[in-house]
Amino acid sequence: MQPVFNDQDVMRRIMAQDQQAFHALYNEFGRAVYSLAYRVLHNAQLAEEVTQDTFLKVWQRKAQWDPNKGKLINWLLAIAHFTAIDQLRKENRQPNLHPESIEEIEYIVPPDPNSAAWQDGMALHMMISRLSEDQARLIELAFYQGLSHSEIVKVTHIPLGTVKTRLRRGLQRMRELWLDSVRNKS
Amino acid sequence: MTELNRHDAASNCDAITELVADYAFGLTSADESRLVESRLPACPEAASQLADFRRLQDEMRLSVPQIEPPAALADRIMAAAAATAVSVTAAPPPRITLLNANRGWLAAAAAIALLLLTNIYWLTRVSEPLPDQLATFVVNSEDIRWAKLPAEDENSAAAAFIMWNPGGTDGMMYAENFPSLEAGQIYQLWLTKDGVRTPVGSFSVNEEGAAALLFSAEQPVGSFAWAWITVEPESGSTQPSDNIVTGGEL
Repeated sequence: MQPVFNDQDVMRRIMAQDQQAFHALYNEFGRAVYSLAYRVLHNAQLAEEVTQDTFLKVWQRKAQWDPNKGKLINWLLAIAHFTAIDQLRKENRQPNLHPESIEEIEYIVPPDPNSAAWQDGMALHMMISRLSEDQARLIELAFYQGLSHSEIVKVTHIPLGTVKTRLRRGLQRMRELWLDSVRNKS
Repeated sequence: MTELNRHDAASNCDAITELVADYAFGLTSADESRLVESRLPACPEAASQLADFRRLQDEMRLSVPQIEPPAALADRIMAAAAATAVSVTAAPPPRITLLNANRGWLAAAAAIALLLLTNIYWLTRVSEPLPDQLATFVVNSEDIRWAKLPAEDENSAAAAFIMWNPGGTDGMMYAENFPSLEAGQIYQLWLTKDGVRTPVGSFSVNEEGAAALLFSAEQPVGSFAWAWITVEPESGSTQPSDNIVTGGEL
């Protein structure tokens, strides 16, 4: 029987440089970290580098988790996200002319429709589909690609004021839809 | 609070609520970020929306299509970790007795803060451990969290540092370059969570504008989101004034 993964116990052991605990951390969250990195970068090799960087930041104590602030998985994914965006900015100086599409990836994990994670993911995708196409695209650029307002203007050729207004409205609308779905679940 | 003050406060909160989505997604300018951070404790609706956005962002990161990483990646990461294992101090460093209220701990707090300042060590979104050279000055450096509270006025040199143990309700604050106060005034430290502002202590500064304060909260210090220092009447306040000297995220 697989031992239950205890976030605080594993992290305490990692801070004491327990490599077995570190391996357990990767086994538990490596896929989620890699998947997010790939989502941002659309490149398997870069996603691997970001995944490695993320986990090594934890191992080398360059980042420390505070259980009072939130779940371990969310903290880890936030590190992965910022690391991936930093990598994206480096790559944008030398743009990747051949980004992979997800269809080319061999290791897509088949979704489990009974899992809470799959259902939450589906709910989020449905929310995004209820936004206007412009709003959804702007949220993609701001959140997953980490672009600023002015960078979004350069990519979309939409005036700055319009970008700000549409993005703000899109984010608030998404928040409202998400709150509704949370209320409906409980 | 007068009617005019209530109206002004409401307008300020409207402006902050307008900006909070941008702020949550890293889209605000430095000035806008400073404005949101300084006004957030006084605007519970904006604080609540920010918390919603943070949870939504967690959901967005979790909901991406899941892709199995290559099997070899695990081996590469473990090998890199084995090659960069950080040495663990065999003996625990000497402890500072935080409950000793004499000048000894004030000097110790000042020494810690001075070392922090000379390292120009800034807090980021992710808590970072203190530099190794400070390990002998603090209680078990792995367990200490700290945050810098920069001045509200960007032209001011005032700054404060808060330190605490994760899970602990005790903390330590060191302030420097604070202006002298008029008679009948005092500085008050607040911790904020979910829009609720909790006073945890008050202090006055010496001729150099420095002070240290030991404080206790009813909940773990690390569970709070923000810390603020305001100017208040000498008798203390149950709600913070708008006269914020320093503030920042924990």
